[in-house]
Amino acid sequence: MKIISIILAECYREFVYAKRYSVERISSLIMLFFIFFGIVYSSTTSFQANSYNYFDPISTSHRIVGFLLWFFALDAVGHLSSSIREDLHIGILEQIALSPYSLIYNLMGRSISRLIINFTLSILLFLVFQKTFDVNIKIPLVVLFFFILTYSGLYGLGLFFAGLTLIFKRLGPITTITRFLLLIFTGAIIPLDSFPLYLKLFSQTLPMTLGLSIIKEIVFENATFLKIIKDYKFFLFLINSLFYLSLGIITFLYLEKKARSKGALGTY
Amino acid sequence: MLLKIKKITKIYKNKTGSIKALDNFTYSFESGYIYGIVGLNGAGKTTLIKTICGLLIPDNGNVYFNDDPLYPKGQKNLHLIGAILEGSRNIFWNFTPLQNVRYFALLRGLNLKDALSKALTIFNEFDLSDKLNTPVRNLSQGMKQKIAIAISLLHEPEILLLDEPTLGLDPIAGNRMQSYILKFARESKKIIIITSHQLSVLENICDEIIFLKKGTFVSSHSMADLKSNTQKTIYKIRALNSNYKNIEPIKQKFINVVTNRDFIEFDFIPNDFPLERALEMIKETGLSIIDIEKFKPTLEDLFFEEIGT
Repeated sequence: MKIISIILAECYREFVYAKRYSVERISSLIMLFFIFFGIVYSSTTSFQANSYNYFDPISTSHRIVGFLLWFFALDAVGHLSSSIREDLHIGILEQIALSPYSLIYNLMGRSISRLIINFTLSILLFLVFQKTFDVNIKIPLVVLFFFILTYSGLYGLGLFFAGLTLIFKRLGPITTITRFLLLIFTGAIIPLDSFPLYLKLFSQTLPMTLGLSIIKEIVFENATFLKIIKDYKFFLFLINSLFYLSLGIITFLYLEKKARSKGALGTY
Repeated sequence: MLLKIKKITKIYKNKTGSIKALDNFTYSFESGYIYGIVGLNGAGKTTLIKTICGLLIPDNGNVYFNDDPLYPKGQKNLHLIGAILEGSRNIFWNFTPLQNVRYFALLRGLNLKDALSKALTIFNEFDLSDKLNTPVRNLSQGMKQKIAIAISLLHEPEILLLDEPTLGLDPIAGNRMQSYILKFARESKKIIIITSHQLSVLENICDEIIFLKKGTFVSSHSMADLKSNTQKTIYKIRALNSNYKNIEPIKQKFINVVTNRDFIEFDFIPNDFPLERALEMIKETGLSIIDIEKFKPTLEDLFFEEIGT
């Protein structure tokens, strides 16, 4: 199958990069761990002397699940854009676009290859988190279905940025801002109840909030698959994911055509 | 295999205006021939190459692979094309040649074992067998170019597009590259299209030369015809640029007439009438002939004659 071949090609590319730039890859993973470590501990401790520090295993568990989903969002939203920018920069994008498979098909293979790699890394992070914070979280298999739906929306947002990169080349901090919006306003590390109403409403429009909320219901409240899909929230979640996926695909195809018309696939 | 370009027009627009990079270009390319596309910078050579391989959508016209159109949805036909693009690296410089082969073979859905075996054969022909595990960035420009060509041949394309393949190469590497292309073309019977702004690069390998000027097709000639033209004797008759009547009626009798501040130069081939008659015609306009020079044109002379300067 074509897509398998593309996934293998992109996995191979990741492997060569990881081998060549292993220090960078490992240090970025360690940095992620320390960011999360800091976030969890800063929310449970006080600067005030002799104050009572309360370590809440439930809140920590929620944050671990939220952070792990954000770990995937981090890549889904920004990787396609940054990899296209890199391909443009090193002068390889035109050769990739010369493939008989469309560019969007190629990017899908690229995303799936990253998903496979990140899945492996997330299992490692998950085990380290559980050990470090001494919590026990069990993730049922059914979560995978809702994870894929959540990831589809995030991938759509990633395609949207990738399309913009074809035309504008450098998006500046836009993808970084979006990544942190997803960390702060989706309930990944801060409970949504603590936000004012307008921020709560804003958070519901982001492509990770509803998915994360549903995943947490399954993991922490033992909600069943049937119960989830009967809820109106699932319907909103489905629309949200489809919206972002469609937005990404339509925007990317439009901007790719525009880039091909301008001859912008080979310029950086 | 027949590659047909029909009425391709491409206009680049920017804030300051627009540039017509290709204007109604039409041509047919057949298997087994090497075509050279020649023109000065900005003639539309790269635009034409990128249009053929789907990287640049034309404003009008289409590209046909055996009557199958490329635009708007003929991407599947791109497996017929291998291309080396000017200004791009074409391959990963931080990969080794073998790593590049593995990546591009997988990307194009090829059998990895077959692709590696094919690549090893090409690398061997290109004298690169001892560089298979050296990062490409550490190799010379000529080697990089050869690796890029080898990668572009992995999927056995029917059409090979080479945009300025010898640019940046020293004369020895350039000559070797020409030999490889010629050998490949003669053995494989593919359509090979090479662009260059140096006719000398194409002289030894092309069967046919297409001249482009400011996006417009000027003419095409077989290389044999062009070379036979270099055997012809040309007379350059120089006259003082003063005190003459209208020279328009006699201009068409000469292959080229150049007017500058001091002189008017008439290039003449004595085919239809003798030199004496040509001199009489010039004198009849009132011009004073001061010099006659006899020479055989080089290919570069023919190039400038075709595209103007």
